[in-house]
Amino acid sequence: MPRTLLFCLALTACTSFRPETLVESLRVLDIKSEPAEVASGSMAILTPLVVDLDPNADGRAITYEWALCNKVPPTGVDIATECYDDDVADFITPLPTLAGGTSMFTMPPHTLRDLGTPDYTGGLYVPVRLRISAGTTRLTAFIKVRWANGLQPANQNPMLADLAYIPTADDGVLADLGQVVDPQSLPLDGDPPLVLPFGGKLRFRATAQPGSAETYTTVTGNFTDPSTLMTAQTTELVRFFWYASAGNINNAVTGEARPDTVIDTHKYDESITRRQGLIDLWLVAHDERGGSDFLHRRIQTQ
Amino acid sequence: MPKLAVTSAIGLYNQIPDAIVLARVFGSPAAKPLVAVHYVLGLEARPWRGGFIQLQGFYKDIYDNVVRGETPTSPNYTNNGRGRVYGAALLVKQELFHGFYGWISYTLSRSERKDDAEQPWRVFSLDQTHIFTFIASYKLPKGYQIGLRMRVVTGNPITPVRGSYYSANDGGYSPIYGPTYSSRLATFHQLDLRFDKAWEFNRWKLSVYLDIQNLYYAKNPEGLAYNYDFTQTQRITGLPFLPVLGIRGDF
Repeated sequence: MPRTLLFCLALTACTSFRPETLVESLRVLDIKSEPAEVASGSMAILTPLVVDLDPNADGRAITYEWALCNKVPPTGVDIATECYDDDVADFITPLPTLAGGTSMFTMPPHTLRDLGTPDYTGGLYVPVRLRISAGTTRLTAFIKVRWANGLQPANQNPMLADLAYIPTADDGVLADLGQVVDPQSLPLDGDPPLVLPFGGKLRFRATAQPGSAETYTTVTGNFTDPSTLMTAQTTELVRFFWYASAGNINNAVTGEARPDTVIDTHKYDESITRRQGLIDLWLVAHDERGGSDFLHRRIQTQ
Repeated sequence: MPKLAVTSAIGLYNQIPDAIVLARVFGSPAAKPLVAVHYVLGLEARPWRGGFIQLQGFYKDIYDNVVRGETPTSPNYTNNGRGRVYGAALLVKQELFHGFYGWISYTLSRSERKDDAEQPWRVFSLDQTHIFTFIASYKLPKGYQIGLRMRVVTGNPITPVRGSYYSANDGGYSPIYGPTYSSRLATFHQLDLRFDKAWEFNRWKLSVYLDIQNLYYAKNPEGLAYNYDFTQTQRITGLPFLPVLGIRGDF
């Protein structure tokens, strides 16, 4: 008997939710700020990655509403609840919606004291809210744009280099999951899409441009005792978040050290037939300081 | 004992904080024990042979309850918490009479907490408004005995999720919570049945029993699980139908 079933019987607590990696409705998969870190008085472009794969969508219009929220959350809280709830308030500044649902904003003047508690990277952030609507569906997303305080070089967005298919002899499984050198990888950026076998376990690999993981300075020690404070150099961890329109992704988040994931197209395959064998893949890279990048690829199964 | 009695009690209780609270690095070793003063006033009656009825009202005042420090400069834990519990309990009990004994009890209560004196009272995470228990046992000839227990209890408070948002920095969803503990899990109810057979020897007694818990397989929720964007919930249920066969020796 499978171990999972035994575990379920023991706890009677297993759930049957569909996975987060499966995109089958209106979703926000990322918001990218360019630049990733913005000084007061400087401008940033905000680009959302919005997907609408609702089977009844049929090209329906998506509306975008952007707003900057200048409300500091309580300690330990990511976003002030008022930023989620309120559409009209003195701390809400509507932002313009530009072509493709993008937006832009100018970072307001700030000091080190008026943006709350810094995160573990020493960063202070300004939340920008995106509300999207399509049909009866309404979603809310936030990006916390990192404020450039001028104390060290500003963070840059990571840059995705490639998303490739890794042919495997035994349905997606390599002898060593951590193996990263494979001369047979096939890039997915061609047109028409790469044709892959339907119903198999397909292995994919993400790569970022060199230098995407930057080194920055952190301060450690007891902040109530300045004599204990020390600086240290830290290198960012760049993580890859995987999404697909069909199939079950075995590793929803990978990293540069182990960049591969396997999509089992036996599971959650309802949309494959409806879409003539097409599967969309989205890859989103996040660094630890609010930077991101994304790309979209498509494969043809038959 | 008189047929009708008025009872009362006052008690002062202390409870040492959990080990994690007193831990040196992640806790607060200076945390003090919780203090609770209990007040109980009751009526007791024995209106028939073997019968016992007790009605009690109670109030508990809790001081120095351990709560988490509120700001980064606070200690990890403080004794700023307060609590109060009040309610009434009714017990109707039949002591062993012609092979039968059992009781029915019902408690109506409210348990509240606050993390410092300035805050308003909120319901305690383990508050149970109604607690009903029925226990009955009947001794049959030749060492057989059958018993059952029925429990009905108000579901524990939970803090509802009223919305969620996608966090583009983390690549995941965060919940937006409603008022703390303003919702509840569904009512807990469970029937347990037990058969015993005993053999008495000169110096010891051997018993074999079959204990069937959750006889009608009530899927009682122990908690809620949420999907990735907090738009769907599923119940995490407790023990299923569980028969247990046992042997016991009393010497």
